[in-house]
Amino acid sequence: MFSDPTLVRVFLGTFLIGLIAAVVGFFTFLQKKALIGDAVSHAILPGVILAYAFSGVRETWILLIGAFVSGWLATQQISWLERTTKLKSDTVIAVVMSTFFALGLCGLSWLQLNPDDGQAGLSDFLFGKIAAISMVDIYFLMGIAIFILLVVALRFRYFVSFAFNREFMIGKGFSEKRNSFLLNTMIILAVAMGIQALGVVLMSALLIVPVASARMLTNKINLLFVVAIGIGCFSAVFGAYISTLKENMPTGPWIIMVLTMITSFAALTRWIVSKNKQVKHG
Amino acid sequence: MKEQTSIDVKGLQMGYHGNIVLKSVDVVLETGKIIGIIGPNGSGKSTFIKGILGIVSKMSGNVTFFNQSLNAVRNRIAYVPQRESVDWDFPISVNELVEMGVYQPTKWWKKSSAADQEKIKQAIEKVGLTAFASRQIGQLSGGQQQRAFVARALVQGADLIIMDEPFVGIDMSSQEAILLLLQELRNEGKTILIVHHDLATVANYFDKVMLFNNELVAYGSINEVITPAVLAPVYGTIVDFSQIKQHV
Repeated sequence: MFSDPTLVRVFLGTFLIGLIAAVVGFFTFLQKKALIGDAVSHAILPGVILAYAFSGVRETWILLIGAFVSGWLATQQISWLERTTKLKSDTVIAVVMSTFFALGLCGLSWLQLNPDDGQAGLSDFLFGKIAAISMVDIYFLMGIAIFILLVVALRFRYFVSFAFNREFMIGKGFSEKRNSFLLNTMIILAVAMGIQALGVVLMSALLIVPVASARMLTNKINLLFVVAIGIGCFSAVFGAYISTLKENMPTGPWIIMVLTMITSFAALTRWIVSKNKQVKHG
Repeated sequence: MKEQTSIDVKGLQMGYHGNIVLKSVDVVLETGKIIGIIGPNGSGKSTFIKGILGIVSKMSGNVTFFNQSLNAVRNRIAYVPQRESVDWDFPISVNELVEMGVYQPTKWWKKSSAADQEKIKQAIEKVGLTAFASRQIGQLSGGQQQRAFVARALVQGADLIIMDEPFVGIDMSSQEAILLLLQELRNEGKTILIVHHDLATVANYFDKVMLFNNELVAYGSINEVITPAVLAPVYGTIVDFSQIKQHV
């Protein structure tokens, strides 16, 4: 099986995507901003399409620049609206997300009018197509994974403390701006790379579900981090593997199916453990 | 300790959207005291705390801590938030909470040193939570949760500890355990500022009291402030003075 270079790329790619998505998702979960991944993945679409329309090529780094610009605009707009209006975070995210996504869909249909392009796989951004992943994409993924892991290795404690007690960290003189800038950058990079495999619609699940499942299994922050990564990587690779068993099976949905099974298992485990505790104490 | 003054407030005015919540406050608080902040609901107690700490921006006025600006002495000030504003499900242990006290923005790439670890251990011991150090914070009682936050303040090396309603929802014996700890800290020269709403316990808990009613009505010792003449205009007739006096 590993003699097929496409399959090797698929497994390597999904492994890396599972890894960075779980790491980034861990922090958005702690910040109680589970929806931000969804917002960013939808908001990236117009940027990707504009980048493609202007450059005319489907090169990862060009699309990444487009993704980064529109993802960054969206996160800035979300925090600006949260500050200036009295609207709650989920409302603001819903507004910004649907606006950007609508823009992206308009762009997508506009591209379709041009018969030369044949969309060049851009509609794959909606639902993801891991088989299309190239060696260049893998290198990008490796670079982004190294960047994210490095940032996290240096700032893990501060990201966690900011999520827990923002005022305390500001009081100590830590910069909230730098903290959110680093986190937003990580989210945008992870999502921009991940939607190639999972698509805009399912991407946020790969961010949040691993850490949510892990949370049912442990109270300890370090263990939570490790277990979330384990679940993310395993689901991504195993889901991708299942999708290769038959022709034309979609990768993203299978990854989510595996994730769902793990979540059910985690929920069941927690239920059994809490039952046992009740019996002991009762 | 060298300084005599912990907080010097001049003309502090607070408000939201143009409405004044707290009229110009002038007060000088001394060091080495447990000072209670009392007043009816919505009288600006928490607003005062958030104003002096810069958590909510002030309309006007000037505040200094230990004769210096807030930024110069941030590390000497610890704020213990209201219990309801803390996410107790957050997956961190007592140890990890207390460790936050040693974090410094200028040394963010460093791991906490052996000396720091020793400090953390001692602080947890001082507040009596050694047996609970690796527990997730949600699995503590209300009183233990408050003490965990006090331990973080100790590790930080704070000389001024500001607590927002630390005794709400905590049983009497735990309240007394916290109070003993705070009295010990006061005797070491630390200043403790506590927002408090239960008039019945005021006389037992504090050395001095600030009484708020959208302005600073009075600041002084228990004998000066906890009297019918001072309290009645603020609280009306709802106060049972016989119950309060009994404690004095």
